[in-house]
Amino acid sequence: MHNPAWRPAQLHTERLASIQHHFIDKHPAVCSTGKPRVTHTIPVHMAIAAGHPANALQPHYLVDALTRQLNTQASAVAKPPDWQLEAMPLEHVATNDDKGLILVFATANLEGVRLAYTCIKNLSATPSRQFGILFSGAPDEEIARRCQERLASGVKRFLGIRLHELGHLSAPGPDFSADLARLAGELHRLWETHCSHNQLEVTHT
Amino acid sequence: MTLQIHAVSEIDSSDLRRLVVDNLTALLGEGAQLVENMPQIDDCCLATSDTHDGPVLLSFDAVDPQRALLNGLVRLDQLGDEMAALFLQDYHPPTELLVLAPGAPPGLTLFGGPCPVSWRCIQVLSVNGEFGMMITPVIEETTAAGPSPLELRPTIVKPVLSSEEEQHFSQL
Repeated sequence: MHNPAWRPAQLHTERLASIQHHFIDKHPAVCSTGKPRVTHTIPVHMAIAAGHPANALQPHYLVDALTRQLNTQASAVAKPPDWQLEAMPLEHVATNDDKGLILVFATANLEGVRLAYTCIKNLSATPSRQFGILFSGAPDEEIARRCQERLASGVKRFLGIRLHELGHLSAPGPDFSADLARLAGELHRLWETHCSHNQLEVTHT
Repeated sequence: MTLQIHAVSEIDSSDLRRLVVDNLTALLGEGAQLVENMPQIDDCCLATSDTHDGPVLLSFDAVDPQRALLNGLVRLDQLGDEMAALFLQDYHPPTELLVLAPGAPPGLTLFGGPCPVSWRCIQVLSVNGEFGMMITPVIEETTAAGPSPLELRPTIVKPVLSSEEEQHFSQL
């Protein structure tokens, strides 16, 4: 049994761990190994509805937090790559250079689903693209599930594409760190799967 | 009896605080209330919950909008601190900051990320020697100068869906 006197320190540590995603480096420290590092860039297309709830996860926060999480988890491997997420407005027209994994972040309502579908449809001209879809802002799990199913079934039916469903991420709260780590892990696995099937161009820095 | 009304530039912080509390419903909607059991944070800040029970921090200044904004940001940061969570059960730190000031705080348009910051125009008046507060609706143009942050910008949907697609995506 722990010494009760340690309890405040333990609570403090747990609390810090749960809010660590708030401490986001705008300019992550550069690893000075002397060797060029590989940079993985994932475009994040924003299918944000006008009524995106203010208390939902916000696009730029997602990009910052997820970038940090990806780089944190990547640092555990021998030659960690640099991960970069690039926020794209919905109007952005993709070029043929973007042949890799694309993340779509959408508001979990009907308008968000329609925006996400429009986005994926516009980007689907290049066959090798794969899409991960992440929702936020659902009032409950049922709405989140219906948004994912409606979008996935439509994309499969009309575009013949199987979406990688990355689930629903709520606004920062007690479970956010764990959810973010899970999301980063899934993105990492998706990236590796995608790389094994395609010759991806990487940028050396 | 005639009403003697004039603007007041100097008001004690406790009087201003009382005026804000008296006008919570007008500011945040029906059902808005102070958050109970919250430690005293500042003379010019109030932890409240709005009509949807959303935690909102109010920061007010009768004269200086910039001071109200900066003070509110500092207190908002403090209320998100882990210490508050240790002391209060079911604690939800404010995620919104509402600045109450006679003018728009400079730099307000830069906000719009995970911590929404908004502003309401207030004017403290003296009415026959008694303090009163006039709450002016914010005109859209005054707060939206410059480009909107990405997440707040309404997205234009191009009509690129076929009739079958339209039917599929007509409901969840």
